[in-house]
Amino acid sequence: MPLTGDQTNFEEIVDRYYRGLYQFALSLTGAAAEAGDLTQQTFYLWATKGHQLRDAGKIKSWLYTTLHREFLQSRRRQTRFPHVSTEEAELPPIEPAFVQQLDGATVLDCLQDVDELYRAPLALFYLDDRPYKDIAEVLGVPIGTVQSRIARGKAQLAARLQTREVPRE
Amino acid sequence: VSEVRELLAAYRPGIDDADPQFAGALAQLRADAELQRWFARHRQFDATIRDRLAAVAPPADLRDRLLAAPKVVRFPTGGWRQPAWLAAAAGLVLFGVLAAFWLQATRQPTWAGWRVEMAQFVAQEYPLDVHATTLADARAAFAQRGWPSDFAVPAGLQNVPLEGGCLLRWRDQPVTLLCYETPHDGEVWLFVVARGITPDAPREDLPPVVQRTGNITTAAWSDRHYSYLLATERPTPPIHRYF
Repeated sequence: MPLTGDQTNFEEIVDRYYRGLYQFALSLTGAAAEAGDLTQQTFYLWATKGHQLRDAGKIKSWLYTTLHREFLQSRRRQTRFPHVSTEEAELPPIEPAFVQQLDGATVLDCLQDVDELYRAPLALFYLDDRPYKDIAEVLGVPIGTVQSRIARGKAQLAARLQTREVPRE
Repeated sequence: VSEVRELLAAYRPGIDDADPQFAGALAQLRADAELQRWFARHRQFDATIRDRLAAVAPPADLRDRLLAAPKVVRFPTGGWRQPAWLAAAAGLVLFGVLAAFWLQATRQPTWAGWRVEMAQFVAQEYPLDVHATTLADARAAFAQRGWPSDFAVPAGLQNVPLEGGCLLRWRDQPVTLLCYETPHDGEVWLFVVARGITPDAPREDLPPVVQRTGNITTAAWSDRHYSYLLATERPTPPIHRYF
């Protein structure tokens, strides 16, 4: 079907957002196949329901919110009893040399050990450059909650990474 | 951990510089050498994690798979913003919404409305209010709180593992929800409510009525005291196993 001036170009939207959405999905799931499926489902929903969005400036928020909602839906069973950690939000001391040697697979793997409650805010902290107002909208929680979850998630991630042996060159 | 450190942990240099909520924490950072050392370590950690995550490449065929979905989404631009007809349309919509609210507030509760709201409840994430693996424990917990507890559980659910339940309210009426985890059909839910909750609740002398609401299949029936709604995410046939 040819594109016209008053229609949003699906291909343009895919090209602009699919990489970031896939990275967000992979940060949430830790599994490439599942991340691909989530990304695909998100764009499918955009293709079928995106016309309901009245503000073109909200496309990115819509896509991230939808992907996060689809992820939560797929995890509904597991998150029925979310584990709310009470551990401190302090980043444990990590040697700079150790941090430098971390590879992507190790980071993604350890991210899966972070409480699900903190994982999405943490992933968006690292992958999204939008204001916190928008991130809070994606996650459906107040801005202050996003920030405290980031601090706690980061502390959990650092603690998990410290238990890993860094691959030797 | 201090509030300042918690805020700084969420601060993204170059992105949140103009965000006033970080102003106080950044002022303290400038005045505190120990905090600066902590923040420098933090930033190095963040930069590495950010680099590693941003370097992840999607599968080579993902873009093609995505583009195989419908190509075009109609998007309203330009004309919907200002014209006078839009104001008129908005007025009509507002009138419709207010009328709907008025009708909703004055209309009698219906069994269909109750059924849909219950189905919507289990279609989303929710916490369990009662943790119990035996029906006796669940009944005791419900009774203690004044919720329906002496109801009859259908034979098909007698040996299904119970996870617990929820204490719900619908139009000031207590609704008991039992949550089961079946071996083959995933979760199955049983709602129990006083029989008179709506005038059109299922009749006692009729067999269960099976219906589909969104992704949820329901079966509804009544006995002398209660009305029941059995729900599952599975399609219609398996629900018959449980009543």
